[in-house]
Amino acid sequence: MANTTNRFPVVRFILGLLLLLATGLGVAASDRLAPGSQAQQEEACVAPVPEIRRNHMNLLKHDRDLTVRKGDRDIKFSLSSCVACHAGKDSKGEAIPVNAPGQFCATCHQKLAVQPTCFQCHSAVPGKQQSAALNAKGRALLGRMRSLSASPEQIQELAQAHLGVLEK
Amino acid sequence: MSEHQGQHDAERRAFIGKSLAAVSLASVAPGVMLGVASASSGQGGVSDQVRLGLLIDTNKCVDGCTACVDGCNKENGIDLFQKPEGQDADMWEQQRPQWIRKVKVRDRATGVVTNLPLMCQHCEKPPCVDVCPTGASLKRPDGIVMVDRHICIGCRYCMMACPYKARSFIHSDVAEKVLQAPRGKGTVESCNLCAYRMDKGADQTACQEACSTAGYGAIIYGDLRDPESAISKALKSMPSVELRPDLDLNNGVRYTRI
Repeated sequence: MANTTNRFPVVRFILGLLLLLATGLGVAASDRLAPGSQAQQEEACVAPVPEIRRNHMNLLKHDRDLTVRKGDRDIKFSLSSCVACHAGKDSKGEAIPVNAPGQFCATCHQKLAVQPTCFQCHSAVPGKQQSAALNAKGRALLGRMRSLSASPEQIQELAQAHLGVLEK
Repeated sequence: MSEHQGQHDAERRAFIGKSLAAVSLASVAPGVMLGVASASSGQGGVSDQVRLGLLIDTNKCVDGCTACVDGCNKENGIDLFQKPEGQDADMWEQQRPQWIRKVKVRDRATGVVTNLPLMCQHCEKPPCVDVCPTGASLKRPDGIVMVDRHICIGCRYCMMACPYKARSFIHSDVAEKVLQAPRGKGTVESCNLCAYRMDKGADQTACQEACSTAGYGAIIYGDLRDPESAISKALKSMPSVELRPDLDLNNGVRYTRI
C-alpha cells in the first residue's frame, strides 16, 4: 500500500464523474410519454420524475389502501388518474391501452422485464370506453377482442361489423 | 519498519472510516422515501359515525321481476360475463358472479310466498371477515363489508362462511374492465353498496334506482345512524327484521313484512 501512489488523481475523479453520469440522472422525461396522451401537454407529473419512476409502485400501494380500506378518495396517486393522463391516443382519437406494447408502461417495463399486474383487474383505458350502441353482449365481445393483440383500428372494424348482429 | 506500520494503520483507518461513512450515507432502509414525493396523508376517509344499510319492503317486491338484479349487473360490469364455451348451464348458474339475487320463500305453515332480493347483508359482525386468512375481507368504518381484491388470494373461505351465500368468485380472465368494479380472475367479490357510485355523487344504489324506475320502490338506502334519513324514518314506521336473526350478526340490511 505504501508503494502505490496516485500520480493522476484527476483521472480518477473524471472516471468517477463519467460513471455517475452514465447512471442516467437528469435524462429528459418527455421521450417516454405516449403520443397523443394528456401527459405530453402537462408540465409535470404529480411528483418529480426521478421520484415517481422509482417509487410509483409504493405510492400507488399506499394510496390504494387508503381508498379501499378507509374509503378515502382524496388521494394523490390514483391508478385511474395515471391511466387517464398517460394513455396515448390513436389516429382516430380513441385511447390506446396504457400497457399495450410500445405504450407508456412498456417504455420502462419491457426493458426491465417486470410485469405490471395492475391491468389484470384495472382498466388500461380511461373511463368506461364502450360504444354506446353495443349491448352487453357486444361489450363482452369487444372486451374479448381487446384482450387479443389486435390493433385498435382492427378492433373497431370488427366491432362495427358485429354491431348489427348483436343489437338484436 | 515500525514507522511504516504506523503510517499504514493511519491510512487504512482513514480509508475504512471514509467508506463506512459513505455507505451509511448512501444506504436507506427500504420503503423510506426521500425527497419531495410523499403519498397522501390519510386523514380523509369514511367515518364510523355513519352506518350504511338498506331497507327492503318485501310487500312491494314482485314475483318474476329482476329489475334490481339487472340494474346491479349493469352498474358493476357483471353483465359483461358470459357462459364459457362448453360449460354446463347449471354449473354456470352456480359459478357466475352475482352480487344480488331474487329469492322466493314460502312459509311452511301458511303457504304464504315472499319475494325478496338478497345481497350482502353488511353484518356488523361479519363471519366472512372473521375467517379471511389474509385480511382481504374487511368491514369499512361506515359499515360496508367488502373484499380488498389486491390482498384476496381466492381461497373462498368467506364464500363458505357467509350464511347468505352473498359472495361470488371470478373464474375466468376479465376482458372488459369497468372503473367502478375492477375485478380479476381468482378473487372474491360481493355487494359493496355501490360505494364507487356514491362517491361519484349518486344518492341511490343501482338496485334502488332500478326498483323505483320499475315502479315498485321496494329498496331504500341510507344512513342508519342518521335519524333524519329516509331509511331511519321507514325503519321506525314499520316492523323489520334481519335475515337469520338467530345468528346475531346485526345486519345493515333489513327486511319488512317477512
